[in-house]
Amino acid sequence: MVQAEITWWAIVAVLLLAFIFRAFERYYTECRPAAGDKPRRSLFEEGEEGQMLYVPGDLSDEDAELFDNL
Amino acid sequence: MKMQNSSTISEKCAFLADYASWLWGCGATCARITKNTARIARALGIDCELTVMPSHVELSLAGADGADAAVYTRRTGHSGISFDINARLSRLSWEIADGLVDFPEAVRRFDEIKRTRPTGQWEVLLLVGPANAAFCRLFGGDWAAMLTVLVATLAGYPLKQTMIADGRDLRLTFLCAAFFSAAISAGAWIFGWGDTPDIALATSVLYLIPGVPYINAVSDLMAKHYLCAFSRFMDACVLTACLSAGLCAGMFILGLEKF
Repeated sequence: MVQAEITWWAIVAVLLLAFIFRAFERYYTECRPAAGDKPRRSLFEEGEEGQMLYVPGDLSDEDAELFDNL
Repeated sequence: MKMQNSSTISEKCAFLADYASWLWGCGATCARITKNTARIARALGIDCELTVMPSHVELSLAGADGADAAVYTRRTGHSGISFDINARLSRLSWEIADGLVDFPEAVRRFDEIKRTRPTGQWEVLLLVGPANAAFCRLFGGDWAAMLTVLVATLAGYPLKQTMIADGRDLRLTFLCAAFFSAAISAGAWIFGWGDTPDIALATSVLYLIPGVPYINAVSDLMAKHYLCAFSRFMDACVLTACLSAGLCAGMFILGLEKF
C-alpha cells in the first residue's frame, strides 16, 4: 500500500506541476506585453507528419505553395 | 433581371447550406437539420434537396428548366456541441417560416448566431464538478465518495479544457483527463476515505462520456440516416475507449487489482 500511496502523490504532484507550469506560461505570454510579441514556445509539442516521415527531396508546405504559384 | 434573380437564389442556397452545416456542427440530429432547412427553404420559395453526410452537407438545387441547377457543399463542425446555438438556429427557422423576418434580416441574425460566445470555462467547470458528484450519489456513493469525485472532476476537467484549447488530439485529451481523474479518485481506495471507494472510482470519469453523440447516433438510426448514425456512434465509441484506457491505466499504475 505504501507504494500505491507514493505513486498517488507522484501523480497528484505531476498534475499540480502541469497546472502551475501552464499558469506561469500563460502569465509569461499574455500578461507581460514585452513577452507577448515573441512566438509562444511549449515544453512539449506535437510533431508534423513531414518531420517523422521526411524523405530527402520532399517539398515543405511553403515550398509546395510556392511551386503551385509559379 | 434573370441574372439578378439567379443571384438571389444562389445567395439563399448558400445561406441554407451554411445553416445546415452550422446545425450539424453544434450537435443537432439529422432529422432536425433536414426539417429546419426544409422549413426555411419552403418559406424562401426554394425547391431543393439536402443530403447530410458525416463530414459535409450538400444542398442540391433543381431549377425548373435546368438553368439554375447547382450543388452547394459545406464542411461540417464549426462550433462544437452547443445547445444555445442549436436552439437559436431552430428559433430562426421558425421566425423565417412564420414570416417574422425577411431574408436579409435572417442573414444578419445568422451571422449574429455564428458569433455566439461559448459558455465561460469557469462556469462550466463549477457546474460539471457538482454534477459529477451528484452522479456518484445517484449510484450509491457516500459523502466522502462524492467529495472525492468532486475533486477528481475539478482536477481532470481543467486538464481537458486546457488540452482542447491547445488544439491537442481529442483522443489523447480524453485519455489524459480520465487517467488523472481516475488516479485522484483512487485515493479514496488507497487512503480509505469513505465506505464506497469503488463507486467514487467508477463515477469519477463519467463527465467524459460523450452522451450527445451517442443519443444523436440513436436518433439518426431511427430516422434512417445510417451513415451519420454510424459515424457519430464510432466517434463516441473511440472516445469512450480512450477514457476507458485512461481509467484502466490509472488503476493499473496504482495497483488496484481488486477491480
